[in-house]
Amino acid sequence: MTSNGLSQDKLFQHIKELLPHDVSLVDTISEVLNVSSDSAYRRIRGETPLVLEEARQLCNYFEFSLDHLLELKSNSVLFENIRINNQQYSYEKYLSDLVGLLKNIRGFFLKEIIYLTKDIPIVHNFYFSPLIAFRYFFWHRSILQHQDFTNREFEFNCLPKEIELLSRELVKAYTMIPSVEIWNTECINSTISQIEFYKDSGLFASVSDIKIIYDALEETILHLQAQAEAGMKFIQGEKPEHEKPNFRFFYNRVILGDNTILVTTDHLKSVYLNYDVLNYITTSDEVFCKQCIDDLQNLMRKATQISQTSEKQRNIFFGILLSKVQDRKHKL
Amino acid sequence: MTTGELQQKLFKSIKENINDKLSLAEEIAKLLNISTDSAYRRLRGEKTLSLDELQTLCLHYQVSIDHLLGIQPGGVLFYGQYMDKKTFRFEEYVKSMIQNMAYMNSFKEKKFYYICKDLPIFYHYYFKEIAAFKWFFWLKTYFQFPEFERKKFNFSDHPDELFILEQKALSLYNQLPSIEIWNMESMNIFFRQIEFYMDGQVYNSDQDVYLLYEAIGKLWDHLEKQAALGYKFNYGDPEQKRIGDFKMYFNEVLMGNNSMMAELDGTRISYVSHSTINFMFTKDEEFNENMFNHIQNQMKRSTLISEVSEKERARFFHIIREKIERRKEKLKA
Repeated sequence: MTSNGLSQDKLFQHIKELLPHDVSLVDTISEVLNVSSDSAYRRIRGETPLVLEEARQLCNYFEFSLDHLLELKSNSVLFENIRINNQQYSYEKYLSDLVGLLKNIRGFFLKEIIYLTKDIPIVHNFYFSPLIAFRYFFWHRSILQHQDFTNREFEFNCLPKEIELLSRELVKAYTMIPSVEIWNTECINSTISQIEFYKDSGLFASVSDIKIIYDALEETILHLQAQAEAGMKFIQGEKPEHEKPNFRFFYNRVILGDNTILVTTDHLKSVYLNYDVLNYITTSDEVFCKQCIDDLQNLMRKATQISQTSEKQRNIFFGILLSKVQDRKHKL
Repeated sequence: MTTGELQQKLFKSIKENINDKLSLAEEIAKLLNISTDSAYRRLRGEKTLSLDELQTLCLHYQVSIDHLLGIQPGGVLFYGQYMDKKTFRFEEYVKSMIQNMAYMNSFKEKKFYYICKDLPIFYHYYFKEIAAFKWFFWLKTYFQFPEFERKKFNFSDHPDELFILEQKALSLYNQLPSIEIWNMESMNIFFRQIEFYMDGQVYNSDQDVYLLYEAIGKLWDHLEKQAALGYKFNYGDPEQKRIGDFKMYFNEVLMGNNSMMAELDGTRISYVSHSTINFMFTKDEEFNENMFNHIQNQMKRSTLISEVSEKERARFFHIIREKIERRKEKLKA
């Protein structure tokens, strides 16, 4: 076996993928290993074998696992954890990172998002201000347990202008990317129970506030239906920017989904798993993503596509969602 | 640590794993396809190992390079086999569940948290009717086994030996002190699956569907009794002898996602579900701390309906029982 083997190639190839385009691999390696550019070149070309200590330095510097890179652990997957905490990583940063991520995806030639969901996907909560405000308040109070929200009643003006703008920017960015969504009629239930929970807990100042939020939810469903019908995503009141269909919507009756998102960009696939309401873990592990695609495709085969086609099924699906909201409104 | 020292550490850990009678140098020479002499030079640290050689050795002796070199990768490492439709065997799945439960039970201090999206899997195994249905549903609809494609549902197709294994898994789960966070949706998908097969005419008769709902009704009564007592006991045990502690929460705010967490003598393990039926687990401390806080937060926002809050418990069980009864009535009509 030669010393300038595949493993070393693989290691440098991986580091290269991690570096931004404008950063030189040779300079970085020579800096991290504290060797001359010439020596760095020889290592990259495989003429000088890396010693264990050097491999260790590189892995620790770039924070990757050698077990993983060299496929020593076949039954494990490395995930990156994306989570909000109130101090270092705020909700605002979270939203702007999501916008950044979508814009980045948009820059690729081939792109697609497949979203298996058990709730209303985050971006669809942001069509109308009352719902954006309620979401903002609910997540801060009940999920992030932000201290500023502990003893507060809900008010529409709790929503900072910049959060509203970011939320709308997220919607805009999402409409530009072709996507597939797999829904159940249960997807709306948690939003309704959250509104009801706040109602029962006396967190709304008046019944009319609750009605405004339910109205916004109803409008949201109607706008979603319009997009499904067109097979295209667009901002309410605007014309679709795309000429080609970019929205496939599936009605799944069999299994309640679990917020699994698969993003394809050119040759790379990544899976995002939502594990506690707002936070995600993500991986581009090839085997894992491949299996995930198989699962999602299988689920799509069992589900009914109600975008562009199947008008009757579409009406039934959105009719169920609407009636759930209207039921609650009548009871107010 | 220098390269020489790292190398010696590697060989030391390999030596601990191999049969004393074998010569380490000869084994290594064979594995790396080099002379015994060259192997000795590597063993003594005179010649450094290449990455390829390191990979070959670590793969063969199941040594973690990360652990050996003290690499701390960013991110969270999750373990778990993705269930592959081509190789999936239900028996093996249940056996691994048994192994996991037995492992957890081997600890002195143990606690199991379950944020249910569906009926917790272990509860499929109280009654043969439910076990048979869930088994059939997985194989026919989820895994799409070709031999199930045109098959109708028969309770008797579910193998007895499988049910013995399933009951073993249930009994081990029952020994584990557990905290379950339920919501209104947790049973709905089960009902939906039963109805999905009615639409598809997968049953031989309505009588079978009725029997299925009847079993669910019995399960529901049993779960309510367990919740009232605050511990798990065997179905039908007249003495209701305590097995494992049981706390049940009713969550009206979030749907749950079948996440689980085990606390075993102070060590935490999180289980995250994905793609509907797959699981992976991690021992990553930071991730687990975060998950733990999430679970605690969910518990705070929910109503404890085991032992206490009789009225709330009655309301929760009543709503679901109504749904079961309504479906039974409809079948009788």
